[in-house]
Amino acid sequence: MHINFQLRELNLKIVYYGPALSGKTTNLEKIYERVNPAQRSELVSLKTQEDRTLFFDFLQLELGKIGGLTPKIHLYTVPGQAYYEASRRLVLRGADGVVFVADSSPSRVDDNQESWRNMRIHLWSFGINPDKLPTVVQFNKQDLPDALKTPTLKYLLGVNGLPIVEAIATKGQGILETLRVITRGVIMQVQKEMA
Amino acid sequence: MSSYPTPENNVTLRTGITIFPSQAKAMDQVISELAERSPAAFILVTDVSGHLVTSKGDSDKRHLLALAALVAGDLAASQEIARMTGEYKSCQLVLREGEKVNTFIAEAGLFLVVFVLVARDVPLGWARILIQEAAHQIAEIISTPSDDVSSLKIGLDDENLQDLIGEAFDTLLKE
Repeated sequence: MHINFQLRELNLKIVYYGPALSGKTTNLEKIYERVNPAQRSELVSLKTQEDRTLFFDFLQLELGKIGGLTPKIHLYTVPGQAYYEASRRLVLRGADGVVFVADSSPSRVDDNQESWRNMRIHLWSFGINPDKLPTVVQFNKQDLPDALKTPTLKYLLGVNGLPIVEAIATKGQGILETLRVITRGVIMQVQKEMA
Repeated sequence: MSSYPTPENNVTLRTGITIFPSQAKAMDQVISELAERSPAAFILVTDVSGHLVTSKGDSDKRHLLALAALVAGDLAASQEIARMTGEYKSCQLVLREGEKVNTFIAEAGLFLVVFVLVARDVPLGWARILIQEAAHQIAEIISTPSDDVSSLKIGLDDENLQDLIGEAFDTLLKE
């Protein structure tokens, strides 16, 4: 978080985290498509030649004023592939909130669990208590024929009590709802911390 | 000269900074002097999370936002490489030599990063000294408590905050 009183800006960072190919970049691409161009930056993607995220994707959104402040939301994704662990950790640096994008396929349960565990370890390494960081869990790919249902996914991931959004990112479903919920969570947290 | 926080084992990485008007003004003064003395064609200051703080020189606003994110990511990667190879030191400086311009990325304390673009004919040693000096001054400015804190309020104390966030969010969406 970074508040600039000179510019009356509240800068917040939200990181989309999750296993490889769970749909993190697709989330940002769909947000980019649906948001008013005057209120967003360009979508920056650092990709490999195989079109996979190498370091991060980045998109900035500028919300309308709240209490005289303009919230600027910086969205980042992490690279999902296992060998980019060090890069993933770096992208979490300074995060004010996290969207965990889980893959609803039964074959990806282990990957979801491992990614969730690693995310919490990285947050702790920065001195951030993951239980106190605003977090939204998105169960993506709900259109798969064998997609696991929300209660099962919640149980397997151990995320009872956290806000959950079901999504089909490729169709844009659940994308904005996820963003809305995490944005609200992060700004409410700022209010709490500044009170 | 007062001291500012230094990284310990690269653990303290979360930012949570507030920039008050007097600090913003002092920072602008430092980068104006740097731009004049080096001379630098373009200077950008971002926080370590990639949020743009200020800039000097011509650039498209959209490019600025992307550049701030990339500069912060670049420094973070360089710091991590240095740490993994046992060569970490504070006040890290990354230099890229180009055909026409050289770029420097310098740590300015724990929270800020300075990106400077200078012409190729500016001596590297000269540029490096000035940039590190400016980075140090910026780190000092941001770590020095401002005297106007009590007069500033964040403005998020409205009891209808949830509704206000919803309305602010709705402005994002295309008609």
